[in-house]
Amino acid sequence: MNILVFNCGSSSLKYRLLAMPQERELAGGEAQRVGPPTAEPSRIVHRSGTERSEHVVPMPDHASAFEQVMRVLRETGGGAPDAVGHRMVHGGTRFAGHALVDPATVEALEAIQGLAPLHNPPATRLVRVCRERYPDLPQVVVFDTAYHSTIPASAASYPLPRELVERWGLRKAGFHGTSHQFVAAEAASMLGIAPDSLDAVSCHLGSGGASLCAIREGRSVENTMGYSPLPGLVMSTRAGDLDPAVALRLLADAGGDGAHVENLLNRRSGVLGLSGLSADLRDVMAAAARERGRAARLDMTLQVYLWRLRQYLGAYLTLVGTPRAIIFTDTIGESLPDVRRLVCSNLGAFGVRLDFRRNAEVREGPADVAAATSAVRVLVITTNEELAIARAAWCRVVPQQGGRQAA
Amino acid sequence: MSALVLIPSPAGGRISLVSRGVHQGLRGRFDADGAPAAALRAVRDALAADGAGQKLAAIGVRLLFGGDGFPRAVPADDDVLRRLAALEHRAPLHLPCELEWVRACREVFPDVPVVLAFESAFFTALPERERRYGIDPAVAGALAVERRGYHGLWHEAACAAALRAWRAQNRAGTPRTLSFCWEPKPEVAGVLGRRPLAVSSGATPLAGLPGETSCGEVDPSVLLMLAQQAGCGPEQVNLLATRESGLTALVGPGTRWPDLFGPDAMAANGARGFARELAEHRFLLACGAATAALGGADLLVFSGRYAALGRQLGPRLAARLDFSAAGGQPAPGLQIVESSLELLVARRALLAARD
Repeated sequence: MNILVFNCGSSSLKYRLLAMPQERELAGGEAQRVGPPTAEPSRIVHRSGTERSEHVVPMPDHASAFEQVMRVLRETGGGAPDAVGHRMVHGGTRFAGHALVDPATVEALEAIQGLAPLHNPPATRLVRVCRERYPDLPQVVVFDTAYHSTIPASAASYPLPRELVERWGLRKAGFHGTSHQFVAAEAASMLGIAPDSLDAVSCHLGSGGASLCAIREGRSVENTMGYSPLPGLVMSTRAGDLDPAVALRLLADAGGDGAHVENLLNRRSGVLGLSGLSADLRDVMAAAARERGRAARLDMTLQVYLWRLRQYLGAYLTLVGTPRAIIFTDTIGESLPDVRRLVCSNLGAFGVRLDFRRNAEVREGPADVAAATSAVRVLVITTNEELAIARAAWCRVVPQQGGRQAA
Repeated sequence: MSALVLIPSPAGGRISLVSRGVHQGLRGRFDADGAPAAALRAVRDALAADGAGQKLAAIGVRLLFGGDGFPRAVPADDDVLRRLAALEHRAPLHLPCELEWVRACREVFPDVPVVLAFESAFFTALPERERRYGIDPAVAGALAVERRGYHGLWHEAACAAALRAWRAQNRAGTPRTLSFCWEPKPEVAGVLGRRPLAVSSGATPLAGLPGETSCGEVDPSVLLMLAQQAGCGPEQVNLLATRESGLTALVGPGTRWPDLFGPDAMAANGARGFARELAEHRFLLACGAATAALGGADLLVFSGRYAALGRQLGPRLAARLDFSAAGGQPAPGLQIVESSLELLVARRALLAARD
C-alpha cells in the first residue's frame, strides 16, 4: 500500500509517498512559497528515486499546492497513493488519538482550528480539499498532540478556576508527539528492549520549535510545551517559559492588542530576541565563537538557552526515575555536539556520563555518545515524522480495508 | 535585647515583639485601612505601659524587594529610603506601602534603629542566566522583568542551618542544597553553600509553584486567551490567577497545605488527593531542575511556616532523587528548619543594629 504523507506548514507543503509496510520511499518533495506572491516564484522541488526535478507553478493556497503535488506525482510516475496521512499539530481534547477522516472529523477539525492558528487551518483546508477531490481515498489525520494524551491529569492540569478550565478546555496538550514517539521507538530498538519498556527523556531540539518529553514505559508522561507551543524551552523565536503575569502586563501595555503580544512572544523572542542577531542557534554559536567572549549578548543567549534545557532535562530525568536513555533529535539535537556536551556535562548525579570524544564526532543519528560506564545512554537519533505518520496511517487504514474485504 | 518586628503588606501587616530569640508578649495584625503612624503610636504606648519600650534595641521591617543594591539588611536612613523610593516601580504593590511603614517607624520611634531585612537580598547573587527570560533584553529592561526569589530570608536561614550541620559532620566541600521554603506560595531554590543558582519563582509571585490561592506556572497563552476571549481584562485574569486558583480552585476556598500534606491528610483522596498529586508533581520537577542546576543535591531542607510538612513530603521527594542504582547520587539528606519569619527578621535587625 502506498501512503502519501502531507506535512503542511504555514507557507509550505512537504510530502512523501511511502510503500508500506516496507517503509520504502517512492517519491517526496516540498511545495515552497505557497500563498501570496513573494520575491521568488512558487515551486515544487520533487524527488523520485535518484531523479530530482523542479516545477515552477503558481500556488496561491494549499488547495492549489495539493493539486499541483498530485499532478507532479502522476506525471513523474512515482506511484499513486492508496491512502493519505496528514500531520495536524493540535487535536485539542476532541482527538486523543489519530483519526480516520469522515465528514464529522472534518467538522471537528474546523471547530478546533483556533488552537494552533498558524498550523491547523491550512492543514484542515487540505484535508477538506483532499476529501472533495478524492472521496474514495482513505485519509488519516495524525496529531502531534496524540502521543501526549497519556500525560496524567495531575501533570496536564492547570490549577485555575474549574469553570474556566472546563469551559475553555484548558489543559496541557504537549507537542512534537509524532517525533518523540518515533525516536522513542528507535531508541528502544537500539537498546534492544520492547518499546513499552522504555524509560527515557526525548529532546526534540529543532531549529524552530523545541520540546522535551518524559517517557515512562514507552508513553509520554510530560512535555515542556503546554496548552500552546509557547512555554518550555527557549526556542528560535518563541520565548518559552515566561511569568504569566508578565504576559498580562505586556497585554495591558499594548492596550489589549493580543495579536501584538502573541507576535512578540512567538515570533520575536527566543534565540532571536535574546541575541538580536538570528533565530538560528547555529548562527549564534558561530558568531559567539568568532567573537571569543567579546559578544556578551551572544554568550548570554547561549547560556540562557542551555541553562533552561539543562534544568528541564534534570526535572524530567527525576520524573522518569530510572531512565535508560536521553535522546537528542532534530537539527540542533543532532548537528550540534556542543549543545549535547554543555547540557550533559556534570550530570553524573543522574547517572549520565558522556563520551566527549565520540560526541564531538557525531552530527547525525543513529549513534550512542554516552561513556561506556554511563548507566544512562545518550542517543542521537534522526527523527522521521513523515515515516511516523505513514506508520500511524497504515495502522488505522489497514483494519478498515480488511473490514471492507471481509464484507 | 528586644526587637520589634514589622511585616507590612498591602493587606495590612503583622507586628510582634521578639526578645532573646522568642516571641514575647505583643503580637498583632493591622488592617490596610489604618494610618501606620497612628497604629505604631498605639504600639509604642502599649510597650511603654508594659515597660518593654525602653529595652527596644531595634525595629526590624521585612521588605519584599530591594533590588541588587541591597544584598544584606541595612539600617534605614534618608539615603536608603531615597534609593528604595526610586525602586517603587519594580515592586509597585508592595514597596510603596512598606516604605510608608518604615517612615512611620522612624517618626514614632526616633531613637530606635529601624533595620530593613530584604527577601530579595539572598537572591542578589542569582546568576544572570537564571534571571533572564527568553525575550529581547530591551523589552525585559523596559518592564524591569527578571526571575527572582521571594522567600530569601527563609532560604538564607535554611542554608545556614544546612551548612552548620554539614560542618558538624566534618563533610568536605560545599553542600548542594535544595531549599524548599514551604509558605502558602512555596518556593524551591538550588543553593551551592549560600549562593543560589536556581529558583522556582518568577518575575512576580504568580509564577513558579502553585500556591494556596495562586496557580503558579501556567502557559502564558492561557491567560492571554482568557484576557481576550473570556470577557475578562488583564487585571481580572491576574486576580483570578492569584486569588482564586491553586488549592482554592482544586479543592475549595480556605484549603491550606496541611490539609493535603499533614500527617493525617496523606491518605486523603478525591479532590484533596488530586491536588496533592498535582502539587507533588510540580515539587518534584522543581527539585529535579534545581538538582541539575547544582550538578547534584546533597541536602533537601524544608523551611517556612509549613516546614514540618516536610516530614511527610521530604522522604517521598528524597526517594525520587536517589539515582544510586544508576551510579548517580544517593538520596539527599533531609533537614527541617522550624522558625518564624519574625524571629528571622529580629535576628537580622539586632545584628545590623549592633554593627
